[in-house]
Amino acid sequence: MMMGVRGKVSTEWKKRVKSEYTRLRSLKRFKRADEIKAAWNDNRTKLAELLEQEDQTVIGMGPVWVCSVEAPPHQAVMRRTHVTSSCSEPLSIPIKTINAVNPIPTMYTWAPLQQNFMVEDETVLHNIPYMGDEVLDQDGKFIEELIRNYDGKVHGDRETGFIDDEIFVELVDTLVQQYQKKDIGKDKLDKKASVRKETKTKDEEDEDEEEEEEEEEEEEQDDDEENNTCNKEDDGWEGSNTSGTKDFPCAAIFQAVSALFPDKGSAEELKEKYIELTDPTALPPECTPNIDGPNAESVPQEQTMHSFHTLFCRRCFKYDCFLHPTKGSTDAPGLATSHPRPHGGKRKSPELRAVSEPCSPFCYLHLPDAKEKMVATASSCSSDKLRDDNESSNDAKPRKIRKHASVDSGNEASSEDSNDSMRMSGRKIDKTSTSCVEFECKTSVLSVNGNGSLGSMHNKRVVCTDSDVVRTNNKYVYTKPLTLESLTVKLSDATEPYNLVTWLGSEASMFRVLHKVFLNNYCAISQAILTKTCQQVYYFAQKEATDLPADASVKDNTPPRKKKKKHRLWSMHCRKIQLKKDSSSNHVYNYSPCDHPNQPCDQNCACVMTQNFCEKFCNCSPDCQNRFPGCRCKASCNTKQCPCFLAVRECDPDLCVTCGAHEFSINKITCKNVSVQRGLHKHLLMAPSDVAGWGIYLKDSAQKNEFISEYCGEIISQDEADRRGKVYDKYMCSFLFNLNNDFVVDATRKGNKIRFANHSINPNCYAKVMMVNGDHRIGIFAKRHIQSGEELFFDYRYGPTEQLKFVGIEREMEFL
Amino acid sequence: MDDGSIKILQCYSDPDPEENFYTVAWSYDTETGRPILAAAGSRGVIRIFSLATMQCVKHFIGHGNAINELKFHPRDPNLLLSVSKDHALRMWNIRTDILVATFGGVEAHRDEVLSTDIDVEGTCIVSCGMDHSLKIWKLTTDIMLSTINQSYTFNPSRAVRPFPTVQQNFPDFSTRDIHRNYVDCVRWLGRFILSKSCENTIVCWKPGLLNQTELKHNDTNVTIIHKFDYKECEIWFMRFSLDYWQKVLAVGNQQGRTYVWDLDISDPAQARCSTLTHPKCVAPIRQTAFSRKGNILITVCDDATIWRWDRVAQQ
Repeated sequence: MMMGVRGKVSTEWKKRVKSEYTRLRSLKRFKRADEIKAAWNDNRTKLAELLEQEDQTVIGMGPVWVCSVEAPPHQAVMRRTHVTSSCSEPLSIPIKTINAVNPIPTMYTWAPLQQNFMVEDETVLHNIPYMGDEVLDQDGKFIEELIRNYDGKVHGDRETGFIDDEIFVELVDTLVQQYQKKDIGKDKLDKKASVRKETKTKDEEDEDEEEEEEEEEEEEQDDDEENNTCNKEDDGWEGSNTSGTKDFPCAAIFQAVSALFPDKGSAEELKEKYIELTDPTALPPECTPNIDGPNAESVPQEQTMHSFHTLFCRRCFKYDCFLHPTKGSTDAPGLATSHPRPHGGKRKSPELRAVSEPCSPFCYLHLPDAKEKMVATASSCSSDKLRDDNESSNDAKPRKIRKHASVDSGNEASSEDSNDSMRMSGRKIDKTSTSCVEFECKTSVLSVNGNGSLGSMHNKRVVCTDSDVVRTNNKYVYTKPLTLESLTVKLSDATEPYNLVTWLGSEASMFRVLHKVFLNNYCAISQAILTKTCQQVYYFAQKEATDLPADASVKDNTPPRKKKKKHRLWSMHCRKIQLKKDSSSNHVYNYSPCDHPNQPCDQNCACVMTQNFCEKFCNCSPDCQNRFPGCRCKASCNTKQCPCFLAVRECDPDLCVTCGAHEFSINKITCKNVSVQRGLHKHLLMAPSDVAGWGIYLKDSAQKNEFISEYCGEIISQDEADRRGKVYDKYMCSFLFNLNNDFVVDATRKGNKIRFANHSINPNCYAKVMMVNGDHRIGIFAKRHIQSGEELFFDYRYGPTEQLKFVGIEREMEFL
Repeated sequence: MDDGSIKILQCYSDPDPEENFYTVAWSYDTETGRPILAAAGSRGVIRIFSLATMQCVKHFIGHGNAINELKFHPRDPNLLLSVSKDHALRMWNIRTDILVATFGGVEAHRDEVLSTDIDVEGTCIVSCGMDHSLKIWKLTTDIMLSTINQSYTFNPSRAVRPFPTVQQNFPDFSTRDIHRNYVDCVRWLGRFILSKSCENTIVCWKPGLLNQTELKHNDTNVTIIHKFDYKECEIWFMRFSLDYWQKVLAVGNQQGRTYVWDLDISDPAQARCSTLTHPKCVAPIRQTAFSRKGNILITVCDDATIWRWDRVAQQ
């Protein structure tokens, strides 16, 4: 049986959409004729008034017609123009030749950039470029070929008709109403059938349209029985069983609309648009819930952190960075540029050490069960450590890296190092506790806001239900004078405070986030929450631990680095770098952080496979064997003595601390291998070139191997570069530069001034691609000493990746 | 001439045989009131002629490629807008020789800009080009108003820094829904816009919904008011024109026919079209122009002929 549906959209649906659309349009036209007429007349009247007014206004002097018709004295020697006219005598007047003006070289508008900018592939040809009539005549096939590159898709190549938001919503609504009841079963069939049907080319489809109808009918009978077993989810209308709510249009409608109006976006986009248009209050399907204010929801940590985890770029430390967009420009694995998720609960920061001393008189550490545990853990310290080692196959030496929140959280209390840290933060908290005592006597006067209204985030007042303790701005205030004994008595009743204290949604959500950070340091958590004591936090933590299934503890499977063999490690690394340089493989792949929890970086690791080092953005252990260790240079890191330089990497401020790469002030840096990341480019001057087109000149002289500038532009996939390159080659002007095997830098639309450097076979500059904090970037360097005012050239034939032994598709850059 | 003929007054030529003037625009000197003619073309050089002295008094270079259209600001005879093959628009103050603004870059035109127009009040620019798009740029933003003012007072000999030209990368409205090919002519009609592509129709439309008065950035809506259809005009760079009172609309086709619509009607659907033909007028008519009163129509053809049509008294 022949199958005749393109993609997943059945013809049936398309026909429905089309007929509905036409019906709506004609209806609309009829209905709107009057409205249009009114608008037209309104516009016409206003315009007439305006023109009348403008006609009266005289700006400045007002125009006066003065036109010299007198022939200049040398008219006898001037060229003359002759005009013949059908209704009067032939005319002849001298031609005035105007002064000569030299135009500037050709340049198309470009947007200046200071950093690379990743853009998505364009799968529909934006418009057919005009190359001049000569090119078209000579090479008519070029345009055909170009269109073929885009699978025949050009903007506006199909008669799609016009659809605006209003018609769109009406179209979807009527489709829902009309087809909802009458053929749910049929729809099931369509969907089912469409899955099996194969994609067809456009041309074929039109011819086959009639056939299809018959076939579908046939199929309907064939599959009738099967249909009955159809899953409820496959039902055309999602949520049609929920009473009272409006039925939500099924996916098929959006697919069909999208197929008919491809300009308007994918089915998914249309669906979102429909939601947005019909329900202005609706939230996007995935977002961080309301976690602030009195109506805040109590949600798991993952939800609270959703925006942070999905939108915050951990490589650039900002939201919505242009270089590592959330949506990768390509679906191919390994090219995903999305932000890597945070590390699996391992932390290095020293301030996270736990306490062993109570932070205040009513610290949770006074609680009997907590105390017991403290003692227990303290005594079993060594065994704890052993177990720790087994768990994580860690180093014998106590490590500062903390474990993830352990299985039964509060009970499985602090190991040795957490005790240390507790002490530290404990001291901090002590200060607050003294102020609490101070307050004790004063507060008898203070009355408490009965309903405990919430103020701003920083001035929250929360009344605990047992109304013993109120906290304002991190200070304890007792509503009635309490003796310390009575407090202890109260608190010793372990369950009472926990039972009576209400946790607001915002507090609960915040606890879950902080718990990940501070682990079992309840004193610190309570300090950050402000409105809960550490005892309350402690009890809440206990409750959470029992309520929620414990997280599987994250195991660290990375084989530890043998520290005693540090030296050997170094030489090994240097050899490895050398090996990489010399290896027969001459492909450099884009780095994308690896993320394979519980797996060491072996042959299956994306980084290892692409012959990249693991970087600090990887989700592997910091001890991963594949990580680049950085350099230990004390000099300028500009010779092959420096392992970073040798590996064509810039020094990493997090790894190389002896060369000063980490210094904030540029003056303090001795390392010369940080120019790209710090943007230490030379002052460049742009002027017409001595060779061709525009050129770029150096303002101040440069030493050999000195950094000149980064070559910035749009980062595009190799496929996109091939498509764009076809056009650029025809224009004989290309700003494409291979970055690595996956991506190309294109400075055509966006770039920086160095894009005007011309090609030479005897250049004064060279380009090299460097790994700069996890990103490949193109640096332009002085090949020899360059004097001030010299024009800059580099040899395009030696691609910038030549340093990394990359031999790819070479692209010539020519300027007209 | 009153007798219906045409007389040649002046003739200029560029010393570079490569120069090919594509467009002219008329203005006047605000001090003397004398006429000024601006012309530009394939070399991207804007020439300013003084007809009284028969001199090219000024020229402006800056566009990186050919200039496709020039327009003067309707309320400020010193402000000249140019659109270029280099994908950008530029606004010049021809009195003080300052580049006031460029409109190009990130979200601007992606290919040659072919045509532009400024509305009667001088508040908005509309531009169109080979990228099938029409874009609207506001001139009433604080930065634009202050820069235009500054362009009159700026003194380059005293200033430490060059003039702070506005680099506008983002239009206030953009659409690719009206046309599906190169958009080669655009004019404001009050708050509506008339534009054409090589699809045998001039579309009258407005940005946003029918009753919406404010421009919204990222608005995807457009409202089509009416389409003025005609025939045999599938090549590009064919301009239509309106008279000063915006009551008559004319466009020529590639067979030498001119279509004229009377817009002074109460229902756009009732717009009547008259066709002007002459047995000898057979070459493509690239441009048309009305006299201020709208009673004389001049059309120019690819075969270097100029045609004059006079409106006869209404029956």
